[in-house]
Amino acid sequence: MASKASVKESLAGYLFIGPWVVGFLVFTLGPILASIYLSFTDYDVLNPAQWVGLKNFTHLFQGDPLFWKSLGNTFYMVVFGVPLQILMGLCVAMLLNMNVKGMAWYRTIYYLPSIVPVVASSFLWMWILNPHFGILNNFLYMIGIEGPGWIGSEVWSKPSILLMQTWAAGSTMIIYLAALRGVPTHLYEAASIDGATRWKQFWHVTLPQLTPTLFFTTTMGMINGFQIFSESYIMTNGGPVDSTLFIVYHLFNNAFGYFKMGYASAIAWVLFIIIMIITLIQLKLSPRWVHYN
Amino acid sequence: MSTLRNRKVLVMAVVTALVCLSLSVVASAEPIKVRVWGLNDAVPGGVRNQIKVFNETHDDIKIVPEVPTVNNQASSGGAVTGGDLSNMQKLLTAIAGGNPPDLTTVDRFALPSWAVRNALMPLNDFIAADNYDMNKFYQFTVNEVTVDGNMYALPSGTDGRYLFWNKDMYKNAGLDPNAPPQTWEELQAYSDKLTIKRGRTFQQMGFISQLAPGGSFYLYTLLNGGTFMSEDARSMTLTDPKTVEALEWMVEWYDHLGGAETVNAFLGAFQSGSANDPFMAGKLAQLVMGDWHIGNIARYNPKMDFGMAPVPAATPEYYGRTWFGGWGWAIPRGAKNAEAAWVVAKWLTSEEGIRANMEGERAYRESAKLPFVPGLQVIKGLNEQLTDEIRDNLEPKFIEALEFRNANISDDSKVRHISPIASEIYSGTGRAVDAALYHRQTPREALEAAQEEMQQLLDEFYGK
Repeated sequence: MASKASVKESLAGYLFIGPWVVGFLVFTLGPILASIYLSFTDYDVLNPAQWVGLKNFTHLFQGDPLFWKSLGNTFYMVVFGVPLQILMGLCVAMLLNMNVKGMAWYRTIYYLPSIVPVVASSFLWMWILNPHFGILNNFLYMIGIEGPGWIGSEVWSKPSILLMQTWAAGSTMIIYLAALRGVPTHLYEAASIDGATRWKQFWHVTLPQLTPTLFFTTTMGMINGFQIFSESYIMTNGGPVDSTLFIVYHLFNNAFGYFKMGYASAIAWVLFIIIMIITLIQLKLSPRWVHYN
Repeated sequence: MSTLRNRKVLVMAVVTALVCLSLSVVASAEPIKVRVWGLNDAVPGGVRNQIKVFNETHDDIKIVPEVPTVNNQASSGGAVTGGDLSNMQKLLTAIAGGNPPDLTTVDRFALPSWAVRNALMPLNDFIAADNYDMNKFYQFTVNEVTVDGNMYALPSGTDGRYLFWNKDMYKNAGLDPNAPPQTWEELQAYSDKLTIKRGRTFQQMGFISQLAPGGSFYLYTLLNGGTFMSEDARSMTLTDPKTVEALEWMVEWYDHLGGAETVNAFLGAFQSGSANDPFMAGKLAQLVMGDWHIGNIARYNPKMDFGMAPVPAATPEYYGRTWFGGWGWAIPRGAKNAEAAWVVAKWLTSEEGIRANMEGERAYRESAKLPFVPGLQVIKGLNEQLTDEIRDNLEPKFIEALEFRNANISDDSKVRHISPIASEIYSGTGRAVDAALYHRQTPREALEAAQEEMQQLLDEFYGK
């Protein structure tokens, strides 16, 4: 039997989390559940939804080439973007983990881009990537390369966004920096006593110690990567030739551009299932390479 | 002592009474607040003055500007313009959530898709009750806001698409600065003389349309005698040979210049209608643009010598064609103060309201030492009047452009399609244009695909 004090305590606990729970139920879980229903309806937001069964899903898979196109574009961003960001985050973190004077400043500088709002950084990058007046092409010109049209080019539009994301990889970097600081120094001491080179130390000590972080950043990177939207919405409108039309942008266009909220809900659920499957695979594979100790 | 205290009490009582009295007076005269979306008072100029004048001249109603811009159509698709931060989703959710603004601006061309979904309030009763004269507006703008016999907005402003050219560049290329091309053939010859390339990049481009892909294509279709839709707006006609030919010409044009990628790399370096506009910067000799570009020139490069004419056509018989866009003021379904909103809408689209805007804009431009150019209005006769009034303050080239612009608008000016899927047509054809320009599909293939897709949307909509 619980004492009066413990009842009071748990009541206080519930009261404290209450606002969050209510917010979650009303503004997150509720709409999520509603969107399951809506994905089986014709719903233009302004009028009541009408049940259409699996029509949205069959159209999605059979009658909407833009869905496949946007899915392909999104996979491109995940496949290239996630490793790139991890590599960049890790490399910068290792540099920032050295004992150099003024390190606090360097850390601040490299972290800064990741807290710049996407809207602001997109506009900044539109100027950097400007084919004629941009700093990037002018730099390339100086070393004798004629730069591409970047976001105006069907081939380079996605790499442009990748470049911009890599610049803003500060949040990944900070996680790696924390993880690097967490590697026990006695492991390095033991390794150097055994005569391990710097490279071997990295390969056999640092990297295994970082696997939980690698796992975390890969998983989160993929989940976030599949939801890419703002950059192309702001910089390219999904063009040229739909080369930056990502799946969430396609969803957005249908929901708010063409009054097809039911269809958009169906896209959202397909995206959710894709992310879910990939995350489950990652979880399943993780014991093989992730070391917790 | 006691008398002093008594007097104090008396004074306090009187003051309290007065305060109460004045408060109750204020309360009874509290004006109705009309929440308006689409009045951008963030920058100094016309809109600020408009709001100020309205609020000063109306004791019972007060304009409260909320969301500065409302773009009611989906992204135009493919255009490398960037920054299309529309607030469409905001309006959609506000109406669905039962808390819409009392008055909102709508893109007239996107209006039918909102109206057929019962998102806007028909204004017929207001119009009838006031015996309001809709005939003062150019007929085509009224047609655009009319769906199934109901009128859903009061039109405010419009814009046509024309050829602009840089007269100094003409002179440098040995062309007569007062004789712009009239056919596609002439245009090509002119453009070749005006284009200067260094390697793959342009030093100067001879001609390009700076409209969104769907907009350019529709214009060229008109100029080739083609159509997008049947007269009754129930079937798409994108595979009409004349329409296909127009897209083929666009592709030829882009290829002639060095391909879509090269052209867009050049255009992507600039921002149209800014200080970094290719025409203002003297990098583009001729272009297709909306008549609002006169105002841009006045603002960003008033010294430039320019001319304005109809866009060259495939054959002389179609020369002079163009299409118009524009905005309107509509009352969303569920607006709390519909009646007051109607009063505001009437005023904003009245000569008085327009003049309040013009005066504010003029004062601002003059303070910045820039010429003031009035925008194109939809009240018949007003454009000529406004141009006359500033005749002495503007250089002849601006007056000429304004007079050309004023003379080219009429009751039956062309618009895009009055259809509940107008937005989809605009972005869908834009997509087809991109696919053709980048050689992912032939023009015919791209248009066949768009035709099928759009026709399906139409059939779905009309329940076939």
